[in-house]
Amino acid sequence: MKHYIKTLVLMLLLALSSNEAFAWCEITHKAILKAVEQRLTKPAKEEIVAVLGKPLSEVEFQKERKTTTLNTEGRSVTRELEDAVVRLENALFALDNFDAYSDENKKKSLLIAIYHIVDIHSPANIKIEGLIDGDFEFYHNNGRERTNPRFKLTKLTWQRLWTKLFPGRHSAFSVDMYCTDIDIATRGKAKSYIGGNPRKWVEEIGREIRSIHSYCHEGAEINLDALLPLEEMHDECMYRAIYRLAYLLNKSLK
Amino acid sequence: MKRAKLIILTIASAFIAFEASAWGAPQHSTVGYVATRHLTPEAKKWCDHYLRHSLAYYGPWMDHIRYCEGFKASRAWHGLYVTEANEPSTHERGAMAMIKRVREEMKDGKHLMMNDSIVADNIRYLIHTVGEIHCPVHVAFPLSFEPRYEETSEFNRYDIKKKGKTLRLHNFWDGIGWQLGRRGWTMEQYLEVTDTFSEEERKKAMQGDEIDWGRDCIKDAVKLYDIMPRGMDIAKISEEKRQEIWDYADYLVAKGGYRLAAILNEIFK
Repeated sequence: MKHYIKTLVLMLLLALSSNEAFAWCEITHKAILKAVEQRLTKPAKEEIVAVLGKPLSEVEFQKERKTTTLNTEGRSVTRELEDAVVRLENALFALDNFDAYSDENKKKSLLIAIYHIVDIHSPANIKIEGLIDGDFEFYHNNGRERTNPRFKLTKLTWQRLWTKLFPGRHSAFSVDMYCTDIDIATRGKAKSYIGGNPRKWVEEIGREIRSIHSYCHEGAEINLDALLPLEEMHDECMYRAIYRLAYLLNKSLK
Repeated sequence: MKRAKLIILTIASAFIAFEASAWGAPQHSTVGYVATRHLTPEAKKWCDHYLRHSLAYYGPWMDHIRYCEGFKASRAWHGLYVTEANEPSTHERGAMAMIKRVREEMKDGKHLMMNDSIVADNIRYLIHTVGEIHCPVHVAFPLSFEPRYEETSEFNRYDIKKKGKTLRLHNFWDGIGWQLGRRGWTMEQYLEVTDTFSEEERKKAMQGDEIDWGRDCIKDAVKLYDIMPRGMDIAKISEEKRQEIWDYADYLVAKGGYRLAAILNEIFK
């Protein structure tokens, strides 16, 4: 079992270097960052502004995520390594030893921590070697009987499922509306999200993705009903990202 | 090539989301949002407790589950059926019976005796259905009623046009946001143009029960025939006509929101 988990963790890659990796859609990204900011302590907020030159809610994911190298204590983490957990652990190490770093490396390590914590919680952003390598197509039916002339199969892709379909159901939601909804949805549950560490979090979502993949894989046809728990999972992953990032930033940026 | 594929997929996914909506997901969410602003603290507390999401979040929900196993009975609740006597039908097929059942089932503290997930589903049904009956094309007049045309069906009295091509009136209303220039509008923008009733107007709208509201929805629905006559080409309308349609739609969404608040306030009194 330990070997299996270790293999799973080692096999988890983030497709950060690929132009087709979307993680979350833009509005979800913004909502996550805004919700995190609402949960930050004053010192953490001030440190972020001091290092990044702007508040967390104004960090733009698609434009700014070109960080390549981070020198930490003589270890160099490059994009080619693409091991999300190692990069994240290095970045968090840097956050915990912030004073020792140059302004440039502080900025890089903070951005890496922010990007990776958010991205490792996006089902769309997880690759599992031998199972999921970016994107694939599957189908969902429209709930009608096969014999019904109106029976239809709709093609969907793994990426579109997580980055378009579910956010698309709340198309008029602004960032503030999302944050209000997140407050309601997670009331009283904050502590349940922050246990563990990044390695365990990656294992957790890896297990969940494997479980989903058992019925939702390349060429599969799933029932319309199957989308309901997946939407719940989409939301739950958002909440985990929010509370865990807030927790780590509050812990490190005192 | 990759970029072209991405563009095609993005456009296709927009159609997936649109197809699943009735009255437009933004309009359904706005009904929830308007209602939220007029809930009593008690009703808000209970709705948050049962739903674990905002009312706006669940605005379009019934459209997503209508063909899911266990929810197929809800398919009948998407419309306000009108009798030959021009009254809202209380037959089990239709929104009126569902709204009445939920109200009776849950009010006076009875929701406390019910399974939480059933209460949550009931609230979700109300959010969508109370909004739905205010959509003029979800008022199903008998086929014998005038005006009557060759294309007349229960939920589509006639067709209009878009750039010279036939467009079902129902399809226009299902996607009114992107059809009529409000693509990308946020909830806050919709709120500014909907929740505009005076206190007196709002109280009047919230009075009565679902039958009274049903009668009012029937009167509002026939106004559509003058506002959007058969054959009108929506690509060629003036700005004044566009605003007239929006004023009418926003007014109906607002009423739906106020009445949703009224019924939730009553249930959770």
